[in-house]
Amino acid sequence: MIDCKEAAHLIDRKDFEKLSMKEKLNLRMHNAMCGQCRGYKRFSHILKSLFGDITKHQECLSCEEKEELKKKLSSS
Amino acid sequence: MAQTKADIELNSWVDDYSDMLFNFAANRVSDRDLAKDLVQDTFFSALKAWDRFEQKSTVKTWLFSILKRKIIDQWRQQQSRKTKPISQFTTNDEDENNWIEATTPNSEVNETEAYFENNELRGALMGCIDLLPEKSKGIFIDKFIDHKDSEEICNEYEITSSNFWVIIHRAKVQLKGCLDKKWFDQ
Repeated sequence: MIDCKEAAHLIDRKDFEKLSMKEKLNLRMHNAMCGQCRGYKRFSHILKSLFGDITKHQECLSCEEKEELKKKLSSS
Repeated sequence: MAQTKADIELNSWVDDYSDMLFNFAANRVSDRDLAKDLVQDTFFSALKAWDRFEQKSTVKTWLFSILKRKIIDQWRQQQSRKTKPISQFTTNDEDENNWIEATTPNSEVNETEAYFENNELRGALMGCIDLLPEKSKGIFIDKFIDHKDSEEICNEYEITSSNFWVIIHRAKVQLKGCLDKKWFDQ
């Protein structure tokens, strides 16, 4: 059974890397019994969500907006 | 007046990159007009810095790096909370030190989505990031905001992989504590 230090390290890595099956299992078992690490895991997830790949909608500028932008830039 | 090379480049940059930059900004500031202004400012800054652009990276990467700095500045300006905190979340856990674990939405509002949408929380977090030690701050921003590869960051800062993860972990713990004080205790 892994301790909190090891669990925290796996949580940190999990946001960016794929964990092995063994690591995932160890983490799941630890988290099942440790509220602090579950809290840390959720904090990590929120942190990642706030700055991560947060593309929700495809946003585009209209042709008019692009022309307006070009005019502003050329007059600067 | 004859167009300079930078003018010509700028016109093609607007055609080639404005949608990408705008999409990136709009999804991060959740305000169409503000996103437009940020893209415009990015092009203005690029125009000013054109002579210093050494073309070590692609124009796209360069423009995105300028835009990211502007978004970070924008987030920093949102540090002061104007709306009430996420008080819609009620405690349902006896362990009060258990931070986010101790809060659950009391309606159908999705917790992560609520945080995710919250620009002010992001602003508060930027204020906390500013309080990190210089090295940790750089590493954290590189990883979480610029999405750099861990190996690249390790090379840049000349640290080992295990050092890197220790720094990331300590930064996260410090941010958690800072947010507890700055955001949730208010």
